[in-house]
Amino acid sequence: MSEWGIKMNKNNKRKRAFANKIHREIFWLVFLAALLPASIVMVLLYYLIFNITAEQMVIPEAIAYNLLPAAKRVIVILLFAAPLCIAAILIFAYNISHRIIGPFDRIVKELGECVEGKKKNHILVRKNDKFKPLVDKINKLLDRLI
Amino acid sequence: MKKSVFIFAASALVFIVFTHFTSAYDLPKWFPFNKQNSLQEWQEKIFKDKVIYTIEGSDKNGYLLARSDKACSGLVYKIQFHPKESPMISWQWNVTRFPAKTGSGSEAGGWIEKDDYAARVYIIFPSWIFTSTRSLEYVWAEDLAEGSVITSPYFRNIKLMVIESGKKNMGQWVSEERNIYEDYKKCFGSSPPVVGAIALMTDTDNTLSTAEASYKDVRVGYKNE
Repeated sequence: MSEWGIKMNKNNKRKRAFANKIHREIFWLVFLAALLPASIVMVLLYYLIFNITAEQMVIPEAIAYNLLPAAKRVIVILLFAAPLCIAAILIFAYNISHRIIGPFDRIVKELGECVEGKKKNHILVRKNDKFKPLVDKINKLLDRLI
Repeated sequence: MKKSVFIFAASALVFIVFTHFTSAYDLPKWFPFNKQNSLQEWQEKIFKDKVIYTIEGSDKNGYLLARSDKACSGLVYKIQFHPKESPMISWQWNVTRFPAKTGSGSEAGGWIEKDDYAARVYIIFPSWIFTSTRSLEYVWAEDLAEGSVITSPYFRNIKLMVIESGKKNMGQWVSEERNIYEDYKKCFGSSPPVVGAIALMTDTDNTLSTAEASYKDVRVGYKNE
């Protein structure tokens, strides 16, 4: 168990889907930030396009003959496409949240080791880590302190 | 934050109230069809080819003549009123040629192939959700019993009331007066919403035949006296 309550296995991999509460919150934030506007736009577009077209057609038989079959087709397509889109957004949200919380977790863990005196060299980060500028500054601070 | 939400809500409310009142109509509305420009305030909606709608006759005896040749288009007038407050509609119509139908609707060919009427008057009840739009249609049918109510083969929300039947009055002006509120309740089993439009149509697109009918003196949105 790490300092932040993260369960680790032998290969230093997390067992749970979410490392901690912050990881879960970031995931939901990214997921809802993508899903909600997309859903609202989709519903509004569906409503506006079909309702305005129906308003223009006026004659109910024309609406029933031309517009209803089109609306039904769109619903069928959406029923198939929506779960795929939601799954894609879920994966995207998980990756984003993972990319933020992964380095953050490692920094906290290695800083803890530095504080306890177990570690005396620099904190290591990957080239593309989002927290690299922060870690560089911490490493400079460590150089001055140690 | 709260202030801006309040301002937005107030603006939206003002907009809704403004658009509601600016779309109010003078009732009752009367369409005598006695001038050449009488059709200017009507919109033609084409379903399948154009029916020829023309103003015929002189000032006092003017009328709207509809000639359909394998076509289906209607004249629509957008008007808003609540049928509970102003339930009545009246008009005169005259059928001079019926669409050629073979057999009754339940026989081979189905309803859609026979869904043509020499004359029909629509009362359209639009809805926020277009699939809930409802329509009450008064028809002069050659082959259906007077007083019968049928559901359109196109859509369950369209009810047709046969208020004139057969050829006995063919070639004569027949006056009609209907209570939209009562007829809607009879057809749909509930109180009607706001009327959004009325329409006139003579169509022969399904039977691929010809029909001719005339309309005049359409009066809508008045109280039952």
